[in-house]
Amino acid sequence: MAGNIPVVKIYNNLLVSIQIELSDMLVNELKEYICEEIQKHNPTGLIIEVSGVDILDSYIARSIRDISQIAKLMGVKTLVVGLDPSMAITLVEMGLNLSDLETTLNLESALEILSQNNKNWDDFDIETDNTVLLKEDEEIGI
Amino acid sequence: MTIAATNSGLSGNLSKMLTAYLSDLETKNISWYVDRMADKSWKNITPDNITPDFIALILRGIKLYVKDPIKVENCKKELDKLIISNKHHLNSSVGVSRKRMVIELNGEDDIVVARNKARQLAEEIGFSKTAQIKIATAVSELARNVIRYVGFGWIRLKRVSDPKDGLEITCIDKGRGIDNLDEIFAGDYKSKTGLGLGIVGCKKLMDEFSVMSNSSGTVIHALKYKI
Repeated sequence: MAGNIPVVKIYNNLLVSIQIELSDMLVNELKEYICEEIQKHNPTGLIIEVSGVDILDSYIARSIRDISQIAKLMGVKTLVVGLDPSMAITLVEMGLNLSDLETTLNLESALEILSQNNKNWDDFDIETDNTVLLKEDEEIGI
Repeated sequence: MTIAATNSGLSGNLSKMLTAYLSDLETKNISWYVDRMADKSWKNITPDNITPDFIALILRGIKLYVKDPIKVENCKKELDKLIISNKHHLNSSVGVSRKRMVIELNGEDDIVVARNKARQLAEEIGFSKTAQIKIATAVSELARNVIRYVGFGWIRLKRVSDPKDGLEITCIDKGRGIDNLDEIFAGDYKSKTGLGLGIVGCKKLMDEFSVMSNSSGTVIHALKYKI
């Protein structure tokens, strides 16, 4: 069933777009499915698009938070995208604490944030490479 | 108390139809379901006073207890014929939205059914989109509690108009009751499976909320007003 949920690779990120009714079983399947996809594609970011979700109750919200924490353990940053205003109001009024879940308003800003993230890493890599090179140069005596 | 036991024309047709397509056990289960879900007057149903609600109820019973899709399809065709033959009567009730529905909670999939029905009814009543989501979320939380902790129960959704327009949710189960209710409402209780927000969250989303619980079951009563 979770296989029906499209997982698309976009740049270096995985985009999971949930467009069907989420039953509890499906949420659990989705959790495992996303983990497998992360392992397969080795992305740097995970985007969960929830604009097509009918209802986000405490269990589903918690499951999405779990997914983001699992992804974090696997070295992947998660962004939740497209939360419906009514759903956001409901979650807050219920008193759900989802402060550790990172969200953006739309897909565009999510991709921007994640690409910024990638860039920083790239810069970091280059710098370390340079310092290693410099050190070697010094040792050689140039 | 089975459909066959009633002797009106329609009920006779119905039982004939059911036994023609279904096994004895299935017929018995459906009769039992209809008997429990409908109000007392259902045995007096005749071809003249059959309602779409009643046909829908029988159909729900069939869908619930008959696993074979071909059988379900056959029964559905028969019921459709019945609807057509009663059209002159049914036409008069078109546009009158249902006031009350009962959803049986048997498994996790019924949580989805319950919240969808709740949202549908809220939309019919004319709740705002945010209120619709709140109602559906509250129903989802209540239904999940029933499935998680008891495994079987009912949710009744009812349109109310006195004193104000609104939607009433009643959630019933025959479990062993909630013994740490004070702890839950104080916010001290954290469940292992959820966020510990099922009942509390539901209370916050609704305008009126009450829980009656003892060792033979739990009844949760919630109300949301339109304005």
